[in-house]
Amino acid sequence: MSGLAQQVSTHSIVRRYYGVWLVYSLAGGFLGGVYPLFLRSRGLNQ
Amino acid sequence: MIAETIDPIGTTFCNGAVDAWGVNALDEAGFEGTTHGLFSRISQLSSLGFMATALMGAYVGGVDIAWPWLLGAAGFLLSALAGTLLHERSRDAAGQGHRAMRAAVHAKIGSGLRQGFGIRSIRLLSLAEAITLGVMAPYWLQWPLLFKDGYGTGVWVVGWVFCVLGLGKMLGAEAAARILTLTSARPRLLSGLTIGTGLTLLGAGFLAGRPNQALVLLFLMNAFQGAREPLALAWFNEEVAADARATMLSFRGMVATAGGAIGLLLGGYVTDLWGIPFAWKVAGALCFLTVPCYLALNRRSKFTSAV
Repeated sequence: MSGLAQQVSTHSIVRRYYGVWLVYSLAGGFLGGVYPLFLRSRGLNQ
Repeated sequence: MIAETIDPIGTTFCNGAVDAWGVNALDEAGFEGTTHGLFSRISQLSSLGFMATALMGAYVGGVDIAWPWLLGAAGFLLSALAGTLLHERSRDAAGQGHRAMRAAVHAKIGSGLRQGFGIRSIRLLSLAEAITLGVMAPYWLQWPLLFKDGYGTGVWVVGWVFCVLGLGKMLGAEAAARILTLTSARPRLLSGLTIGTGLTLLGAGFLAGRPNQALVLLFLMNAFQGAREPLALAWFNEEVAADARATMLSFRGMVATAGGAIGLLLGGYVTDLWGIPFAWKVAGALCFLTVPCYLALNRRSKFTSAV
């Protein structure tokens, strides 16, 4: 693989790797802070 | 309870696999950057994603506390779709029958556990993660309650506190990305960051009645954690061979999750007896147990991945 092609491939993998993590984190964040409050609102206070 | 059981199973399947896919693909493509720099950027992106949606979740939760669950479920379905589109099915796997696949999975689990427990560096680094998650897991469930009650406002305040803590983590990850660490200095650096984490959590326990001051300390704690995590993950990745990476990262995740589960039980018990501030003081002190795990790896062979 030539140097340029290798660099393009590496950049593409890094972009996809970052992209997957970003989408995954976006999904997880919705519950991040409110989860304990949800539990407490449903009566779990111990 | 059923939802709570399904969630960590999915999380365990995903975390190790995504990192192993990324690192192996980059290795094959001849990536020449530092892995801790890569993990630092991922940590920052994760923090950014968490901050954005935590803020939305907090405001939506102010209307109906159950709605953030629906948003989270939709987001995870979206990320599953994105992962499926990026996935390239290997011909070997596609051609295998269910029985052969099941046997291969059983064999892989067995060999993964043997490798994980058999290699000292893997064992100690995984144990360090277990202690860290065991200490931090109760804190993650307690700070929203403490700050919502401390500030005496609506659910929305939790979203903003989350953003402050996320910013601390991002700054820590940025510092980690800029650090050029010698392999020999890594145990001491990670020990120092862990001690910083412990001291700030301990301090937040003492200042729990003063939300602003506690928030400053927790911001610093997240900065220490944000710097520690990518360095620890990069170190772990260097300890395993490419063909065992997904299995070993899953092993690390499994041990850490076990630590988190024990920490939640013990932390919950301590909180019930003596309250959240005391539980944070105990957790901060227990952080120091991680230090011997790192320092024990000070003198060892450079590469231990002969598995």
